[in-house]
Amino acid sequence: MKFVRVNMTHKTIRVEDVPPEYAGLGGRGLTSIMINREVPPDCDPLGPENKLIFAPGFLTGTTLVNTSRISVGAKSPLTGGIKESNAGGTIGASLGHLGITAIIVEGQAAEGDLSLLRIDAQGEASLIPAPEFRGMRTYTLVEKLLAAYGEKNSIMCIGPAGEYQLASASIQSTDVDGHPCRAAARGGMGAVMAAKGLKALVVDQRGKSADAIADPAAFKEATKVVVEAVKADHMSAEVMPALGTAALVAPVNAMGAFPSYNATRGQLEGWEKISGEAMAEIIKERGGNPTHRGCDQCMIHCSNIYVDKDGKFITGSLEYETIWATGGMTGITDLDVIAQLDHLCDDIGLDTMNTGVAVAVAMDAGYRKFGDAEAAIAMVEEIGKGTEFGRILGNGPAAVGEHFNHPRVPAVKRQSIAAYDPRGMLGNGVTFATSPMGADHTAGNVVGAYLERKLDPLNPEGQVETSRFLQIAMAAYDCMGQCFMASVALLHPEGFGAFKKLIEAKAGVQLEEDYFPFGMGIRILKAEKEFNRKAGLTKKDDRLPRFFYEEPLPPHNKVFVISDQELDSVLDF
Amino acid sequence: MFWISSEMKVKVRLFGALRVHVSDYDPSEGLLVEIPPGAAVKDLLAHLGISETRGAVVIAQGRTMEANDRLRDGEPVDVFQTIRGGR
Ligand code: SF4
Repeated sequence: MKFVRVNMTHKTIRVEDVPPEYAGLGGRGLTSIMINREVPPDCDPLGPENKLIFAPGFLTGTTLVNTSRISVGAKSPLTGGIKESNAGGTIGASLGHLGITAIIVEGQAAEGDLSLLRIDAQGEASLIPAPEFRGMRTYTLVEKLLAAYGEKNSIMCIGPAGEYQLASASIQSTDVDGHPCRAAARGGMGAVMAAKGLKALVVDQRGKSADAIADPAAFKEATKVVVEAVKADHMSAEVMPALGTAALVAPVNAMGAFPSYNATRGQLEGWEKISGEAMAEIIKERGGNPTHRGCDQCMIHCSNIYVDKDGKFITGSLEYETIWATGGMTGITDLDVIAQLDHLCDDIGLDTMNTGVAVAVAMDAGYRKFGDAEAAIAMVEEIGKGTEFGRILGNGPAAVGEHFNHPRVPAVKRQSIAAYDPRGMLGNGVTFATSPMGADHTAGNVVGAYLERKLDPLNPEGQVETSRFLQIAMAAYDCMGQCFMASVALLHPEGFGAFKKLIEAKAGVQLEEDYFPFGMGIRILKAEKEFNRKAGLTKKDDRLPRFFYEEPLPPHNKVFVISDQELDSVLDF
Repeated sequence: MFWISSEMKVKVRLFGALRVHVSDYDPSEGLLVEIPPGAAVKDLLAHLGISETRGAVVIAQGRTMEANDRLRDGEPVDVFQTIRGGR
């Protein structure tokens, strides 16, 4: 249990024991509470006062399944508020196995100075000058770093978009095959990393100094409950391995809530061609892998390897939100093009969602036609090259809307919505509006409640309560290092109970009855809201864009009808 | 005497991991299922051999249907498995 504090101004590294005020925290809980405590809320997100925090979950590095997630937190250059961006891959587990609770990157290197942070198998951290990697795209970079430091390393890195300090810049994370196809994508964390003068983290996977477990027997017992719950859930046991998250294309489209053509329609013409079912077929036919273990310790395998007609790798981990943003929103129904766009975004270091939606806003504004695949690829390439328009596009849909003076910008706090139209799934609109993160797909995604018929997506009743419950529960799970797919199989008292026991067994403490998820989730959301308030965000920022209230969405022809007052009550703890 | 078919025909498309139930399922065609008039969603699922643990949900005309909702002759329905959000 230690912090690695890296000061980029002085190029110093300090390793310290986790101080008591951060005890028992990990992942999003640690990043958010630390940012609220240590980062001046009015600071320039790209200046020396901001801190970039990499924190694996509290249970990452243990034997628990599906726990190789890492939270990356900072003040966001996109939203101007607090940000936690969550990534899979292997680096979470690698840090966990070294007993590293967080890497905290502070200060700012001199302009033009670029380094990488290396952590070896003994947990020794060092800053290494890396000028030769300037401007390099992530796939080439990772290849070179793995050649230099060995295959048994996990990497998180930025591409050119980060170096241009664009608001959609991601931090890419290597999967089990060493492909940088997983991402802490949202909120411009790549730009913050670049502003610090850091190109990559290279962490040895062979660490053997994981935190001790206070009560191994109890830990094992509770682990069994988690494994059984994941196995018994048809989503994690059956649907995710077969189709991955792309399985959502068909049902969300069928419900008329698949935002298409820049959220002017709720159903996409030709959706069949980009469905999870179609994707799995294509991948199988071509000899790719539809059931890939993307992250360390995964027992679900929601990932995939998408290959071209000759069986050559195009991209890894092609997911629902990406397919929607680069396909549904742009009207592009060719999976090969979508896979190529996904690869480009990963390679340039971009949030696929913010980027796809930015392209869609440009198309909607008349810059190019919906469905124009060549134009979409050329636009994303422009971001990679750093052209003038590329930089506008790389700052996301709000920047593009401002450029074209185009009001239909599906974003909250400047972050693009996810693949659920608020007019067709009211509760997702509630989460988009009120999550301290901006519009978000994991912070409290209500789609499951609609498919399970617990809630009518078009009836305002129950939406606020459901969004609130999910936002609290997901905030708590985001602290554990557990991936979303496993977390949603555990959204019940038994799952909550198992996690309370896991925390108790690791830390050797006794927790209050409703600590998990309620005590923990509310504590985190409170810290995030407090930071946002001090950073200058107001209730007005907790609203959807006007057009969701005014333009009915076909086929249901409904608008968003949750009142401002109700939105203000969601996280009013 | 004329023999009149008493069955109604429902066009069904299967999604998620449900296609494995039907050998040589053709996604562009779907299935034409014959079931007694007045059959409900739960009868269709039973007919297709889809047990409750599979988390099946039937959607028609953009709306999810309840287990006891009646199916209508000739009306196409889609059968999905529930999912709780993705990345
Ligand atoms: S289910 Fe998917 S996101 Fe979760 S650990 Fe496995 S590959 Fe990673």
